Amino acid sequence: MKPPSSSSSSLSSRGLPIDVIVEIAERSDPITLLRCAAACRQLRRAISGEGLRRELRLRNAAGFVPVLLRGFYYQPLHGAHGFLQEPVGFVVARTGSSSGKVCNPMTGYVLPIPLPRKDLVTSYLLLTADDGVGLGASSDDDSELHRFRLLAVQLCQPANQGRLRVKMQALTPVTGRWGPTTKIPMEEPPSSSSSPALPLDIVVEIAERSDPITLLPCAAACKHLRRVIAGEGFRRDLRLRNADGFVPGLLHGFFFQPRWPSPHYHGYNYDPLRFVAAGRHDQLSAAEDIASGGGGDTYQIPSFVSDSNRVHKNKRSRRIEPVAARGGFVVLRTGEFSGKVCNPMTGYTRPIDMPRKTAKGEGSSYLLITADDGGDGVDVGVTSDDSELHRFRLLAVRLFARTRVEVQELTPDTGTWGPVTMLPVVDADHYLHPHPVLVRPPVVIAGVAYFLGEMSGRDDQTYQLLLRMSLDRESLGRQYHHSPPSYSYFILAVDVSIRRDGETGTRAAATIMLLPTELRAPSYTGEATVTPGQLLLAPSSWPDGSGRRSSLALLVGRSTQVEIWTMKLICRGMALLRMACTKVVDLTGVPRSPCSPPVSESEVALLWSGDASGGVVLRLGGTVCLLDRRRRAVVVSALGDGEEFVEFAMCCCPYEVGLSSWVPSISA
Amino acid sequence: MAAAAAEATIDGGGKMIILISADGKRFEVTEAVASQSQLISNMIEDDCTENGVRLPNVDGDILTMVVDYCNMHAGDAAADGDTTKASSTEELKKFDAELVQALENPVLFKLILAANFLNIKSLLDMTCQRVADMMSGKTPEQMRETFSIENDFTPEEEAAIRQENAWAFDD
Repeated sequence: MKPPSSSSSSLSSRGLPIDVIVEIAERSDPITLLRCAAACRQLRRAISGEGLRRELRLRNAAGFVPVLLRGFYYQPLHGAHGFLQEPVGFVVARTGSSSGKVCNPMTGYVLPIPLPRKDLVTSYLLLTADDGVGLGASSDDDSELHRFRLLAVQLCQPANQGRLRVKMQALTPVTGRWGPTTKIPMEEPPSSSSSPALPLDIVVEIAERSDPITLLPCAAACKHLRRVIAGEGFRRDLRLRNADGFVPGLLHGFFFQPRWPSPHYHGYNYDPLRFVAAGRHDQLSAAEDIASGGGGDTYQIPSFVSDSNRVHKNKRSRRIEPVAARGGFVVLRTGEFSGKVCNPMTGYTRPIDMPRKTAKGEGSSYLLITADDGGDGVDVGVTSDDSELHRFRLLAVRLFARTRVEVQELTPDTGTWGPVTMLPVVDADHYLHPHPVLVRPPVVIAGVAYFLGEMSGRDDQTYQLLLRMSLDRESLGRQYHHSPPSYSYFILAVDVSIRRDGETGTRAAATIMLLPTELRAPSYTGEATVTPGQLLLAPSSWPDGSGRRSSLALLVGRSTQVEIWTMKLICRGMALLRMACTKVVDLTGVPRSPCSPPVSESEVALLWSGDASGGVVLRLGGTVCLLDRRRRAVVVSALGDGEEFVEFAMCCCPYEVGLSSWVPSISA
Repeated sequence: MAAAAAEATIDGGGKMIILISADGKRFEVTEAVASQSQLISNMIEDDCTENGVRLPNVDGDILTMVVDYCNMHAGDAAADGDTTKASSTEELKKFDAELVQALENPVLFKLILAANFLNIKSLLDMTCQRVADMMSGKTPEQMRETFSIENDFTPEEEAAIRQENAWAFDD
């Protein structure tokens, strides 16, 4: 490196202003700097001043200064010499078996010191003024002769298996001798008798592997844990880990409402809404007590329950009608033209407009999208940020005969529905029957929503009716006989993600995927058939390299087993390549009440599937039970001990919490 | 697998390393086995394993488990030209499950600390998962007790926290 003075003189014959020269000097090396400081009084003052030194240190602090690496000392290994330490400028060198020296080749400083015999357990630590303030080495004072501290550090364990200790000795530069040995006991004794304390970052590692419900008490244990768990990074890791499977704990319980035929009018009377926590059916009466509003309770769900019961004093209108429930949110119809979106867990409630029901039930299929549906590069337009007031999107999707899908989105701020978006149905070939209906609740995977549809426009209620009629079909004759279409079920895929890369920002079109002919709707031809109630779409995943890929599965309920058909999707999830039954869960072991008749195929109904918990609620004749997909077994048979749940005529709405509806509520 | 093992021997992968526990017990393992520990792998690269690797914060009985685990997971890199035992995935899973299932808290925690210190990712993952499974259903107080965490919340803060997600605390 050239001295700055020469470079500056080559730049201009007039010379540079003194502060520019100082700037240049700051970037030079110590030897150049010394020469610079000898050039004139003004430069000397500027360079020897505290300011320049601070500037240098600041520049240092922002990164590494390659110039500070001055070069390499090397020596062929034939002597006993060897360098021990060489931080910033100073070198400790061994010169003999028990002697050494500290030098600073840059300044020419040399101090001979005694060095203990070479061993593997002693480390030498040089501290210089560069290491910071308060370490006992300073460069500020010119009078300071020895601008370093040298420590010898040893880790040792006493013979009696006591605590590990650090032995430390400091060199006294003035005398060139080692000072007294200080012994520092270690904080963590790895003793064999007591349980060792884990460092908090390992506790965090453990917490990440637990489930969200365990996580909350964990976040309540101490401040540090709480801060980490409430942090954004943790949520991301957790979601990633969650992606490879189900967390049964997220299924929180069931809302249910028994109903009784009214003696006074045609219809039903409805009991107050109740909530039963999953896996705690014995606490039914306790839940009921809370639900009836006793005792200023802070539990969110019971308060939701008592709210809806207070609003509807009338026994007939007390009926609760869930039309969609995903990720912690529930959409309820409250009247002919009204409804509400609530999150019983957080207490969020939003009254909304609802389109009028048609004669065949809800005309639209309602789809709730929460922040849990996003991630992995998919933007679904919902985040779980604290600033976000409405943490969901609600879409109403209708399929019109073979040509188009109409999507309307709720504007949560006003509770009204936005304009209708029309999507042409791609690949809707001539197989599509003129009156298709969407029969089952939708599933969202990687920004694409999947709806199960039926070609001839018959939903499960119609099939139940037909079934009852078919029992009398001998008397009726075969007047209802007509030839079935070759395909009767299909999956409608609608891209609901938001693309912000392109200028258009529009959604991709909707596509129709036909299900294989084995899964066809009942007809009178006597072939193996399934009713819409036996089918349910659910997310699934399979291992793919290091991670897992999420995909779609179709659950098919049979009289003795539940089949899980996994699908291979292509074209960003918009087309079905193939599907096959890959797993079977046996139902024969489900205990049922002794008097109940054997279940026929058509009496099996899959009521609900939890995206996050992996819980599937199914009805076997008169028995409602819960299937745990993670364990691939029926874990809860006969919910509510069969008593209330056996009553077929009741409304049951499983309630599952989404990750995004609880994590943000941890305040740091 | 066999070809890889042969190659490793030629490369010096069959070299033995001595691990010394805190209480002075010595374990002789192959480099391949020891390299599952990132710490020791780095030391092998830096060529400072000649006089044995002292592990001053790992007890002998814990190190026995760690060495067992590493031997098992190093596949057929067994040392003395033993009959190559191709451990199937099933066997490994069974071995892992048995290893952690039997452990109680003090030993399990020590194993975690050892896995963390030696930087053996798969062992750390497995042992942490075991503890995570054990944490399910515990109260904050029990968690503090288990992990020796000091409660630094004021009673008011603690009440606010419990209220925030009351549903998770209804124990």
